[in-house]
Amino acid sequence: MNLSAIQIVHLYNRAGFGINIDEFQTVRKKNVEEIVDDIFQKATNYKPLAISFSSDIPTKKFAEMSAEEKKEIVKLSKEGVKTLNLAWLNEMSSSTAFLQEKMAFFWHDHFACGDNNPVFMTSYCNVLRENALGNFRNLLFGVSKSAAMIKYLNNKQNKKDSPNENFAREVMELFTIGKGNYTEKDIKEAARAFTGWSFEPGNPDFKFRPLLHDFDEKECLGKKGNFDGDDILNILLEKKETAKFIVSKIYAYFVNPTLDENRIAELTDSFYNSKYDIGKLMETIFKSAWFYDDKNIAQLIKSPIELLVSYNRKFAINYLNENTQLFVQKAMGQILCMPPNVGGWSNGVQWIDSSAILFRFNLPQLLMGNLLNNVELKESGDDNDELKQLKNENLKTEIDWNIITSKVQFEKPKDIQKELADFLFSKPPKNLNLEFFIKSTQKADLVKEIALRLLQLPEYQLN
Amino acid sequence: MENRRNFIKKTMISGAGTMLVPSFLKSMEQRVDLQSIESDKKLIVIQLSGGNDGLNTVIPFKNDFYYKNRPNIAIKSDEVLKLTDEIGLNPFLLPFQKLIDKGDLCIINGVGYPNPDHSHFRSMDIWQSGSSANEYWNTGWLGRYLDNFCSPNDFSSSTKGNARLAMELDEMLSLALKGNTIKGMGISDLEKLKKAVGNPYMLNVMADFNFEDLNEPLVYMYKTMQETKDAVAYLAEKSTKKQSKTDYPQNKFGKNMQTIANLISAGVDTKIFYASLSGFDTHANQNQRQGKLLETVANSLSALQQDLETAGFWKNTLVLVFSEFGRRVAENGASGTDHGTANNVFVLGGNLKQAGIYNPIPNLEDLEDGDLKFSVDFRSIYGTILENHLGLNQHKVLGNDFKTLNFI
Repeated sequence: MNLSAIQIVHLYNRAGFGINIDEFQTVRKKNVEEIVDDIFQKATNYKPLAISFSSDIPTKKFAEMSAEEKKEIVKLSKEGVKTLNLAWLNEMSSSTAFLQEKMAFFWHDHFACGDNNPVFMTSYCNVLRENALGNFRNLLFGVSKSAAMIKYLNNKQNKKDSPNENFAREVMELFTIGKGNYTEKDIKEAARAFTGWSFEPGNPDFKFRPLLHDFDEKECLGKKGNFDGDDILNILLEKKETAKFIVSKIYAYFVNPTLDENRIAELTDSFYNSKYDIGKLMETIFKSAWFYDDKNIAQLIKSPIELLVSYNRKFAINYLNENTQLFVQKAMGQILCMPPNVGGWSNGVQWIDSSAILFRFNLPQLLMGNLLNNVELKESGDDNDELKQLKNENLKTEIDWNIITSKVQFEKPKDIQKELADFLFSKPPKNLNLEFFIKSTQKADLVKEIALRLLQLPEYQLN
Repeated sequence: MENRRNFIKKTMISGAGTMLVPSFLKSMEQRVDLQSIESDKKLIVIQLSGGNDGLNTVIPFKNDFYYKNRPNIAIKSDEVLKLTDEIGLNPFLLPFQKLIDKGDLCIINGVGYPNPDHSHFRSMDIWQSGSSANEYWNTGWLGRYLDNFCSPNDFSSSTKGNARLAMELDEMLSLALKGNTIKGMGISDLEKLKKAVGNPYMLNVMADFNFEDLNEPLVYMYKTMQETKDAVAYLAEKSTKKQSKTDYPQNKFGKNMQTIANLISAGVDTKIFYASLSGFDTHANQNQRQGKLLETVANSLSALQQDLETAGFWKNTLVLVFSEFGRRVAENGASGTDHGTANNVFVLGGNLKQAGIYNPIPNLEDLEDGDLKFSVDFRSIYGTILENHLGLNQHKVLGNDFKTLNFI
C-alpha cells in the first residue's frame, strides 16, 4: 500500500511528533510496510536518560535534616526535576527513536506520576521509556515497583496494621482493568497484598519490608490465597478486561477518540494472546489500512507537549533561554513529570479554551517570529512552586532557515505555501490566501514567513 | 410566587414535566424560563490560593488550646474583632465585621471533605472540580453549571458567546470554569485581549473558515476563537458604560474586583465571575503576610459591595470566598503554619438568610494527625448555591445530592 502525503503526515503525527521536510521527502516513495518497519527499527536507538545530580544529595530522611540542609535539598531537587524535564523533551525533539518516546509519553499519561525527587523521577521515566514498546507486564511491574509511584500513591504508608488503599485502587481503576470490573472489597484485599512495598530514602530501587507485610490469606477478584503484590498484578493481567482497557485507551490516543468496538475486540484478542506485546499491537495498528481511513485522520488535538515537540522536530529550534520551554509548557497547562493527578492529562478539546486558542495562535510568532511575550502565567498558590519564578520570559530562539530553505524546491510564494503545507498538515487549510500577510522577497525570509503563518492556524493544532 | 418559581425550576430540571412537549418547543421554553427567572443572579467566586490559615482568620479567642499551640503567631485576644463571646475576626477584616452587622456576610466553619489531600495542586483540583478525594474529574463545577445552563442549541448556533457567561479575571482559565461542552473565558486585561482578537491575520482566517466543516475538533477551535472575539466586543461596549468611583485597593486583586463591579453594574449577562489572590502559603513569618492579604480581600469586597448596592445589583449577587485547605493547628518553627485541612468559607450577599457565624468552629482538641476535622462538605455549599441561588438541580453538576445549608 502506498500512502498519500496526508497519510504520511498522519502516520508521523500519531507514531511520533510530526514529520520534518527531510523525512517527508525521503519516505514519499516508500510503501507503508517499509515506512513502518523503518520507524520501528529506529525506535531501538533510544538511550536511557542520565541526569547527573549534584553528588551530595543527602540520603537521610527529610524530617531529620537541619533547616539549611532542607532548603538546599529543595533547591537541588527543583533544579533536578527541571533538568530532567528538559532532557526528556530534548530526546523527544531530536531522537530518531521518536516512536519509543511517543509511546513513553503515552505511558506517562497512563501511569501518571510526579514527584520532586529527581532521582526517583529519572528512574520512573526510564522505566516508561525502556518498556514503552515492550511487554505491558514488565511495564506494569516496573512502574508499580518504582519509588516515584510508591511514594506518589502512598504505598509507603501501606502497612499491615493500617492499610492504605490508594495504590490498590488506582492500579485497578486507572492502570489495568478499569472501573466497573472490581469491588470495594477487592481493593481492600489487594491493599493488604501490597503492604510492605516500599523504598529507602534517596534510592529509587524497590524495597520489600516483610515486617510491614500482611502474610495472611486474601480474597481478591474471585481468587483466594496468601497473595502478595506480584500475585495481584498477575491476577489483574489474567483478566482480559485489562487487555481491553489498554487497547481502548491506545485506540483513543493513536487512532480515534470515537471507539470502533469491533476493531477494539479484534485488537484485544491479539494483544491478550500475544501476552501483552505492546510493539506488536502498535505495528498492527500502523500497518492496517483502516488506520489511514479519512475518518481517522486529524481527529485529535495536539497536546501542548506534542505541539512544542513538533516545532522542535521540524525546525531544529535552538533555545537561547533555558526557561522558554518550561514557560511554554506551563502556559499551555502540560508539564512533563508534573501531571495534574494520577488520572493524567485531559486530552482533546479539553486543551482548548479562549486563552489557549489565542496562545496557540500566537506561539509560532512568539518563539520564531517577532512577537514579544506579554503572557502572564497563572499564579500558583504554592510558595515552593518550582516554576514560580517564570515571569515574562524572553522566548526568543535561533533557527537556521537556510537549512529548510535549501530543501524547498519552489520559489513563488504560492508554491512554497503548497510545499510547506504538504508536510505540515494532515488536514490542509482550504482557500488560504496569504498574499496580504507576506512581505518578504528573499526565499529564506519567504519560507520563514509562510511557515509561521501556517503554524498559527487551528488546522495545525489537529493531530 | 416562590412556589411557582420552584415548580418551574423543578419541572424544567427533571424533564418529567416537559416530557410531552415537542423538543423544539422545549428548548425554547427552557431558555426563556432560565433567562426570565434566573438571569439576574450573579455568582462571584474568590479563590485564596496557597491555603489560607483559617484559625488566624476566624479566631477562637477564648480557647487556651489555640494560644498554647501558637505561642508566636496567635492573634491577641484584645486585637480580635469580636463577633461572639468566643469567636472573632482577624483585625485586618474590619470591613467584614461591618458586613456581618449589616446581615450581608456569613461564615461557615469546618468546611472540607473526607480523606483530605495536603498537596496544593490536588486539593485545589478537588475544590475546583467538585470531586471526591479518590476521583479525578476533568471538568469544573462551574463549567458543568454552564453545560446545563446553556442548551446545546445555543452552542451549535455558534457565535452567541456562551464563553462570556463565566469569566475569570486571569489570562489563563482555571479548571473550575471548564465544562464538557462550554468553557468560560479568562480575561486579565480587556485592552490587551482586544488587541489579540483584532489581529488582522486571525480575522482573515476566521472569515475564510467554513463552519459547516465536518471535522469536530477543528470547528470547536474556530468557534472558540469566534466566541472570544464576540465576547470581547460585547464586554468592550459594556465596560465603557459604568465607571465606579469607589476606592479599591491599588493592586491587581482590587482592580479585578472593580472590573467585576463595573461589568455587573453595566448590566452584562455574565453570570459567574472568578478571581484568585495568591500568597496564602505562609510557611514562614505568617502574620504580616496574611494580614496584608486579608486586608486586600476585605477592602476590595467591601468596595464591590458598595458599588453593587448603589447600582441595585447587590441583592442578586452572591460571593463565595474559599481556599484549598486550612493550616495546621500548631505553628511551625518559622512563625508560620504548614498545610492543614478543614477551613472556613465566607459567603457574602444582599439576600442572605443567615449572617454571622453559621456553625461552630471545629474542636481544637479533637484532631486527626494534627488537623481539624471537617463538619461541612464543601459540596454542600456548592449544592446550596446551585439550588438556592442559581436555580439548578445540584445533581446535574455534582452527581450527588448534598445536604443543602440554610445561608441563602
